[in-house]
Amino acid sequence: MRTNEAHIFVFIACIIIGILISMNIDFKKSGTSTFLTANQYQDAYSERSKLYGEIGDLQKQYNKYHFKLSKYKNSEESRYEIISELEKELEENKTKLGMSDAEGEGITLTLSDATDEYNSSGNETYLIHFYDIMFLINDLKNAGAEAISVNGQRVVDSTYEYCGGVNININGVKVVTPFYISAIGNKEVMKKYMLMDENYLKYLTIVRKIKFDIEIEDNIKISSYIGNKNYKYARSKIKN
Amino acid sequence: MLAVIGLIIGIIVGAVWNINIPDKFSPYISVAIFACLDSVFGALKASLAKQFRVDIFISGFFGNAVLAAALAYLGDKLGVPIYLAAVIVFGGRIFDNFATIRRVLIEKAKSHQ
Repeated sequence: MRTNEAHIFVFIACIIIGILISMNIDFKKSGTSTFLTANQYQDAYSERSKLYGEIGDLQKQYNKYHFKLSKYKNSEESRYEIISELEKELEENKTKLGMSDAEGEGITLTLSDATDEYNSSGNETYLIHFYDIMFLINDLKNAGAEAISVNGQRVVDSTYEYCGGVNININGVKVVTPFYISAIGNKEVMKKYMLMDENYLKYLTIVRKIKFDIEIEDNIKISSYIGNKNYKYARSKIKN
Repeated sequence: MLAVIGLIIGIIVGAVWNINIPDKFSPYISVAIFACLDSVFGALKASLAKQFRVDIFISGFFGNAVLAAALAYLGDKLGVPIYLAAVIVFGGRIFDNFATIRRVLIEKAKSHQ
């Protein structure tokens, strides 16, 4: 009787254990983990932080546009307010494209040919060429310039330059030495950047002996791009 | 033999019943299961030695389970893995009991021949 009793109880206990085991086992594949080396971990971590940052930015943008849209939908003086909002947006876009006048703090770069050296040697490297202007504009953009003009010609994305012999042809307009390059942006940063030893201005002035002058100004006025853009071939793909 | 059958029946019943213990209790229940297994092995050994006592078995079964789970929970809160003590002790006892059971069964099998 003892052994039977024992067997019965052991049987019941085993059933209980079985129930507990199957209740406890989790069959879902909860996130298989992999092993990473220290480098991979660093990369993965920084990529994750970058993605979080992007998510934050996108969220902010979304909020901004959502707010704008709700303003359009809900404004009482609907017509008038919508039109003024759209006009404001149009002005902002025009400024960024270079289609409207701009003013602000910045620097003015004045460049003139090394006429004495040219006259004595006849070597053309002592003259300013169109690619010099291009490199300087590139440097200015790198330094954060928001609006640039060369001798009054606004530099926009479709700006081109080529050599016209005694002049440089910018955007179809012939300009001659001396060249006044104005740029609107952070005046200190831009001046420092242009004067750095590795940048183009130093090479231009020391090796090719071009005369230059760089000045910081608090209020520079840069006129808009004159001309129109008629795109005959590029058509926009509107996302729906 | 009966024990294994009981275990299988229990697992099937549990799978069919489809109740899952919430995940945060899972480690505590695991240690409790271990304690129950140890009680069962002790009961098997006692029954082979004709020394089985129901009250000791039942009190050991539930008491050990509760004590093991409580110790695991306490260890969690204190940050010390106290559950390790339960695991080592119960594991040791299971293997001990199993060794005794093995010897007795093999002796029985030999003496029957």
